Amino acid sequence: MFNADFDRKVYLFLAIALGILSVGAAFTAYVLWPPNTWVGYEPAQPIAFSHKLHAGELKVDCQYCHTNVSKGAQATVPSLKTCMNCHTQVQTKDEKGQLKPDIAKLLHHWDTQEPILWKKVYDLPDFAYFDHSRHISSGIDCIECHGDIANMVRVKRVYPLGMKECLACHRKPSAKTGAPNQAPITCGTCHR
Amino acid sequence: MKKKKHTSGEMKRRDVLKSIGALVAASYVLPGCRRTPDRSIVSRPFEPEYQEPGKALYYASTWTEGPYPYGVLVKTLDGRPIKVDGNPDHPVNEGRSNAAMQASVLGLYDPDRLKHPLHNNVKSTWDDVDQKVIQSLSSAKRATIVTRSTLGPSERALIKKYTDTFRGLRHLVYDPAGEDTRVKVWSDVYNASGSCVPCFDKASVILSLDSDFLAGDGVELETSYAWSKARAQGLQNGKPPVFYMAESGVSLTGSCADERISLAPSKMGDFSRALLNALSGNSSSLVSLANTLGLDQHWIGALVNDLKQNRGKSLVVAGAHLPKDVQATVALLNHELQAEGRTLLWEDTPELLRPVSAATFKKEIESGLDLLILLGVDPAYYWPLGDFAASVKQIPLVVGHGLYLNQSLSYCNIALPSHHYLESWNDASPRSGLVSICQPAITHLYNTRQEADSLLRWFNGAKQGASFIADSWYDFVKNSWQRGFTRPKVMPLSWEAFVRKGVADTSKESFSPVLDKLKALKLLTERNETSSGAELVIHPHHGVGDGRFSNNAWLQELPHPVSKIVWDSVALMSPTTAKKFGLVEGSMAKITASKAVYYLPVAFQEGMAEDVITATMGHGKSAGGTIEKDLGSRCVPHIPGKGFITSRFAVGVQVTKTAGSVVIARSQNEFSAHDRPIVLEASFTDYARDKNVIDAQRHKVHGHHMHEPTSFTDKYKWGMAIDLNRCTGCGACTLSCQVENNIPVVGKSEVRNGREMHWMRLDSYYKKSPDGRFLVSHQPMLCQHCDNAPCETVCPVAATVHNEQGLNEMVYNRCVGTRYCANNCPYKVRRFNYFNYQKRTVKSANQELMFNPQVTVRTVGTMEKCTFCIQRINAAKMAANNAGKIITDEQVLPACAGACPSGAIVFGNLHDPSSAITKLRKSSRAFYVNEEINTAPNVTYLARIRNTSSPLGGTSHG
Repeated sequence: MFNADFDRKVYLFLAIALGILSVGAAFTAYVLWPPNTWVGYEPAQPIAFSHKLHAGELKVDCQYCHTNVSKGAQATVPSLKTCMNCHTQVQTKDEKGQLKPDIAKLLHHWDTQEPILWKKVYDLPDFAYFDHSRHISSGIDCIECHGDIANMVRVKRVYPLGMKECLACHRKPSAKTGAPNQAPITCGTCHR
Repeated sequence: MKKKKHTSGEMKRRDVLKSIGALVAASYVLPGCRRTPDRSIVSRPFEPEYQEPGKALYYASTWTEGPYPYGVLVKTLDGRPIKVDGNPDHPVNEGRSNAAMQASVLGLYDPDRLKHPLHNNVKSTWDDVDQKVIQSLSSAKRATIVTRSTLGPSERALIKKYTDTFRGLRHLVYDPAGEDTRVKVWSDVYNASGSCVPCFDKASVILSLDSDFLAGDGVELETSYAWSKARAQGLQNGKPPVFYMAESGVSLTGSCADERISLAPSKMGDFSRALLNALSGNSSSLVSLANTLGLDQHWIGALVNDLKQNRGKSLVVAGAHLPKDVQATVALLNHELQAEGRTLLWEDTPELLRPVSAATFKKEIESGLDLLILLGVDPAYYWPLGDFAASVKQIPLVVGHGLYLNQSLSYCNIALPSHHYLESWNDASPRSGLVSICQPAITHLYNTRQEADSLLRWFNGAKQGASFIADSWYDFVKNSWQRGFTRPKVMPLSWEAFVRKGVADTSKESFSPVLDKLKALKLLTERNETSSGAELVIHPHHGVGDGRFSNNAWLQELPHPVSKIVWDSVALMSPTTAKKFGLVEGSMAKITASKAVYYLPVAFQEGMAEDVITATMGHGKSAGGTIEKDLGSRCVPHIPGKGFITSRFAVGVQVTKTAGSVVIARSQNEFSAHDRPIVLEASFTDYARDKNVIDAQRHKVHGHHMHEPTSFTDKYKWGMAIDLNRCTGCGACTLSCQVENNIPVVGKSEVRNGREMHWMRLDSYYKKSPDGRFLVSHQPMLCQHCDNAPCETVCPVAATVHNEQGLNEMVYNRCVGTRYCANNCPYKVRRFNYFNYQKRTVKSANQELMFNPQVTVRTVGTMEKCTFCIQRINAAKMAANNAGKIITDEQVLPACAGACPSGAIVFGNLHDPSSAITKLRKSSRAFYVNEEINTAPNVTYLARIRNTSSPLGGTSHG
């Protein structure tokens, strides 16, 4: 009954079926895994700007550079002009008397007025509308979503930013009063 | 043999197992190979002033594309214009807009635009073509510049400089659609320069003879608001104006009339003369005319009576296409009714640019010209006299400037691309003392140049060292202001302040000239030929106008206010007339009027006068953009003469059936409400007697229902009220919604399939009153945001849910496309993306810039519908919460309400007892559509009250 021919057909069928299934599963996982939930994403930036140095050691306020964070949806990266507010003076040189390579890059951009294309570390899906200003004016600290940026040399994603995380915080009782959080959780708050 | 096979099978099995293992491993590893977002944030060298990312920046400007230069406010987001609304500071349109203005932003990003200069149809450079034109200009003995009639003061000054400087250079205006018998005759009989302004807000009795004054015949944004405001106020103080209409077709204005009859345009002369006699006491001619024509006796009696009793408070207008004798009679009628200085005022305007006739134009271009410059005109499309190409062939150099490579430009030696008005500097002065600025909201997207800029450069090149002329067109416009040429005398506004505000207006001065009765009476005797056969009236298209917007897909898909036809030009006629000529809907008719022959598909329109055909211009172009090219059939004005009494009105028209047929697409195919209480109405007589007359017609919920009444406790609950007494059915809301919410166009065949995507549509219902009159009612229809929404209960994935502020939310990223919700919606307001419509139409990266980034662009398989502009509500909420305040009435304005030219749409917070919406919901005219099924809608309709004493045949209470 179970001759080799039949065996072979069964194996072949199984193989193909399993193959299709697993490739499909892999692909589905690949597609459905939303990038905004990845933790540990830490892209190299065109200029190795250190948040640890600027925000941590030098204690530059976040809003000195991310000016729009309390005013609009996007926090925004600073213009070259903002960098040059300090770096016209601060032009640290290494032991050989050469400009530090990243400061040299910045000065080159400034000279040529060529914009810097920073790599986006946080990227929410296009159908989710997040507004920084609302969260800042509700007293949410940057750290709560972005982690301890002041101790990062290169910015790295430390928390997943999926809908689950949004909702967890929106549902959480207020830390100060213990009363239920006023944050809305209806779909239209973020999706429109 | 067998063993060997078995072995090979074993090998196979091992291999298979191995590969399975590898695949399983891969399935774990692959997701580890994460996609990097790979998107960049661009940090600019400087932060441009006033520009905050994601925050709208508005520029005051002027919509110079249309027939009238209304003031606009251009919304730019991150440097790109995404929406155009009316400028509230502009005294004429006061923030209101029409469909074409709303749609104008599409034209900016149109990939079909001419993108670089062409010399003999070969790509060229500006320097090269400039040199050729300058050379020709310096040596030309005879040259002509042809423009439209709508030119700003700076443009006119520049052209005047041309005609003063170059001998043998003439300026002609060619605007066949803009020919206006009314303006001609009235300024003649009143012996006045300036323009006549009918004041619809001051008139208690209005009679319109075929004048579509609420849509295109005149300054419609000013008149619509005046008209609707007078109706609203009249209803409040118990004395509403009464509006009589006698018209050939069924126009938007006619559908808004209180008392409407159909009357062939050739009878307008006799009718107006008989009316004039009746007003001066001799009503015998009117009675006999009414008997011969079989006119509604009740209508005539009421009209004469009302006019007689309201001298000084009445107004008569006639369509711009009607012949001289009608216009002169109307002038005499208004004089008889003492309208002058009361309901009829005159405004001082800069000297009007009179268009020349095609015959004059032809004579001009065949008179041995050396140079012909066409600026923003397309005479070849309108050309009624043989071959335009042959006429211009003799001219050594023909230069054309335009947005598209249209028919005329394709005959030009040099074809030059123009700036869109959103890329241009310009000014406009539709009346003396009023100047508005047109400023760019974005730098030019393609290698284009403004027409006036080209003229200026050529002038500077041809007249080296000329004294006054500026270096750039911007300087020229600025100089016009600063040196007091455009700036009103008593206006200390600086240039910067002027540009910021967009408009400068000194007090509106009106005057009232004296009617030259003899002149008018003389015109009266100029009777027109009457002949057997049908009559033809050619109107501008409701969307694309005279054809200048015909490459705009949004306007092509905007349904006609009454017939609901999209994407086509048709010959509309009543079913009985069509039957007489042996025509059925969609069959091609050959329409011969004098020497003009038109081939048009036939469409039926109930309620039209017999033996009358109305057609629209603007279609059937043989060149141009991809949308307009070869779309529809050509029908353009002709030269007045035998047959054509005016350029847009012909008698003695022969109609025959020809081969072929066209499938006509309508966005609405059933026009009867079948006596159901969908749109409620009452006559004013009934309403005055009993304020509950509307309430009595309502089918309210009775008995027990399975739904508990839903309670909403939030501080906000959003609602909308639409006053059908004010709504004219123009469709500005439809277009405004389309622009704001990234709604795609679907095309003619998909409209045929009932798959149009408009979130806000206009439903029209036809009805025969008990005394046989044809009544049309308009009803804007959008998502009703029902408290007990039937769509929500059937969604298997909870993609449509209710929020605590009464909004029915649609979550695109959750929708799987079962379409159950649309099937269960009793209002048919849910729209499904059967295809990726956006991808079908968005063909270039530039077009993507047009999208509103605040609204998700939907893809195939997604349901969508009106959101009450949740992006605007959220933005207002965000701002209010950040400031610790509560949103007040004016702070949230959905796109439709913002555009409505008649102020019919009110939006607001139902939980605020002082808001306008709360008051309107308690109105005695309030009703809800399909309320008997207990959907509890949040859109309130306010019933239309027709100021008539005849019965309307309301719906019965079932």
